[in-house]
Amino acid sequence: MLKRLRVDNFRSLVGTTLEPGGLSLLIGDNGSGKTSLFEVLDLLRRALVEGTKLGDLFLASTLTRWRTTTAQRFDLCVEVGGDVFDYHLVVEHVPDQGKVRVGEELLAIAGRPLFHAEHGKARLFRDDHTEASPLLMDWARSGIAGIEPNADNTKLIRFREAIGRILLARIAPATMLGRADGEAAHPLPDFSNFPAWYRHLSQEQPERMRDLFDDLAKVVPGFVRLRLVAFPDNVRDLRAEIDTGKACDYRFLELSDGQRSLVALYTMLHCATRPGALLLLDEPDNFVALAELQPWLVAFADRLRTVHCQAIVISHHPECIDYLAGSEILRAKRATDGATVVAPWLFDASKALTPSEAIARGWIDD
Amino acid sequence: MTRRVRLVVVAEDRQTEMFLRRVLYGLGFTGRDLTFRTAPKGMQAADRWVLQMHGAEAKKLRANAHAQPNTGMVTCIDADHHAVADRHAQLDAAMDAAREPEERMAWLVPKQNIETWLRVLGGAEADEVTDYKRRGHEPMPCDGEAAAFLKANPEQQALLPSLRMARGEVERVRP
Repeated sequence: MLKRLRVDNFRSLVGTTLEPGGLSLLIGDNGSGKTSLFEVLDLLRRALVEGTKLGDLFLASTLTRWRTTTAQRFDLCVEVGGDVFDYHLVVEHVPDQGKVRVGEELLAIAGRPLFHAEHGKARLFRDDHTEASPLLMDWARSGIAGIEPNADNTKLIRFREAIGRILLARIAPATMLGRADGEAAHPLPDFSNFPAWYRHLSQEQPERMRDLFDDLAKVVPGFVRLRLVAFPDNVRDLRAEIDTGKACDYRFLELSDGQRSLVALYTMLHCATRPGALLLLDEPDNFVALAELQPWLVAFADRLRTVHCQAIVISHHPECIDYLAGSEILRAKRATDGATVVAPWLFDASKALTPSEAIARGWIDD
Repeated sequence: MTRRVRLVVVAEDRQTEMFLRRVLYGLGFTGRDLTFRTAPKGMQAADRWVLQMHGAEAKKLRANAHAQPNTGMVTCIDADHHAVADRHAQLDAAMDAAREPEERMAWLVPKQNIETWLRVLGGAEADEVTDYKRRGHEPMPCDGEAAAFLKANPEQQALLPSLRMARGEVERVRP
């Protein structure tokens, strides 16, 4: 579970701290920095789990414009299996060399290190925090990403796996392709690789498909199942079998934007809500029929509690705001110096308004 | 074929909503039959919010009763230090005209609060004087407690008069 994220020198995030609960609604004006917080978490996952070069993730354009420092700082506090991990990453931009590299990377539990890298020198520690053999490190990438699991580094690996369960969803149905030429263990933020992710899930979690199809049958009239049709060169075409009197196969691209969004949302609900997962949903309400929103939110919130995972939802939609206000609302806003500040928003009942009405009117106390 | 009955459910907090949802599922409602109006978390005056929302929703329900006859509402508000009858009077007052016997409206008033019921329905002892609310904790699914509520165990009901009254109330909205 993510307990705290602190970011410094990334767009409008300057010393910005996010402390989410089990299910949090993140509200704020356009440009207040909400999506940047989500992007940071996804970038850290890609750095730490996929081993992507920092230069491909932390572009110079992400440096805070009004500051001159070229170091970006990211701090995570994550609880995994009873251990509280503190992770600290400094990303150094070296403009005259065109390089982006690790300035410092530290993973520790209660101040006792599991990994520490500084200026290209890395030190790996065992689970009991005694120092293991020295490491060679490519300081263009996270040092943690390249560590092979063994019996002495189970804690570090558990932390990395927890970061791997961060999933950013900014579903853009128009970009969702109909074909998969392989499997994808992780959906892209816009879900454009949905068929490849579904192909992976159908292999890894076949037991979840019955519940998924049952739920989709409630929202798509006549829906029977999703299936992958084989084509040459290991390509699979995603189809939806729909029976409204006569069973028909529809290519995934033939579904409406709203239907594709619902397929993505319910797939996420059933297959991505694993213990310890952190789901970041950026405006999941887009494209979805009004009557379908609350049933999905209710099922999603229930599922989070059942499997003990965590979610943060960004929304401007009244239905989303008013329902999720029953959990926790965090509000992002720009301070006078331009930096994003995130704080709990406690709704004042005396206004005789719903939370969404108060937000729409701008009747939010500062 | 019986037409679906759709309910608006006004609840004081997420824990209450989760309990009500399971009770209503037990009565045969589905997720698509229910619209929840749950008080925002962390409010100092959640009961006030419930009364306001209850009044607003009751007026909408009555205004649309002719066009949408298969609709109803459930309101759940903690009694806290009030008598259950006092809360009923407040709910009546919030919707201007008192509830009629044939109106599909159920009022559930746990005393002191929903945690009192959940304790008893979960098999523990409780009374209506002690405040068992655990503030700041994550709400928990309460399938067993909802099932126990619908089974209407006479011993539990004898223990908590507010629970006995609520068991009768839910029959008003049974589809």
